[in-house]
Amino acid sequence: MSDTDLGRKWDRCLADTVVKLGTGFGLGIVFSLTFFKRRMWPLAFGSGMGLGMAYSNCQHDFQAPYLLHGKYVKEQ
Amino acid sequence: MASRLWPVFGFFIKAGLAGGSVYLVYDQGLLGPSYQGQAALLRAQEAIPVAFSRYTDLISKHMGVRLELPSTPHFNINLRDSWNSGINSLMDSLSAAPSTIQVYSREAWNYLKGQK
Repeated sequence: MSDTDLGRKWDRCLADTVVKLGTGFGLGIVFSLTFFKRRMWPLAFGSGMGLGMAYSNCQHDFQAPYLLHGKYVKEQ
Repeated sequence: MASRLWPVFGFFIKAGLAGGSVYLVYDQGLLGPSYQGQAALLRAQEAIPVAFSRYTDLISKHMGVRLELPSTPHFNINLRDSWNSGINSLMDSLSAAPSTIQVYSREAWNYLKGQK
């Protein structure tokens, strides 16, 4: 794995971590306000789940060095 | 009759909010693979300043107050290079430690001998 590929994977990993942590936290807020009477545990649970999903994605990304990410371009 | 239906309405409103937020998260691909999360973050980084400037223009038109986002600070720190140079400096100093200690102890001994 070259340095640029490694750097790109780290960038993707950090961006994904930020997104999943924020999403888990946001969903935790929504569920805490709607169903769980403004308790704190849904926020912690959602944040933890988001962080765990991001960690799992990062682990898979770093352990699969020859997998390329591409985009499907439709024929025009 | 109506007072008994309010809790039911309340439940359906809450269920709609929670279900809608879950659907929105799924639709935007926020809990999917890492490249989708990265793409979502890039979309947000492009969309938020535009939306903020649009709303501040609207507010300034109606209320005469101008709001501005502070500019994001740019950090030019290369963590890998900093870490590597720190480790190199530490190992260099540890490998040179015996001879350095020898030199300083000889100088201290000479100084004490000179003092007597």
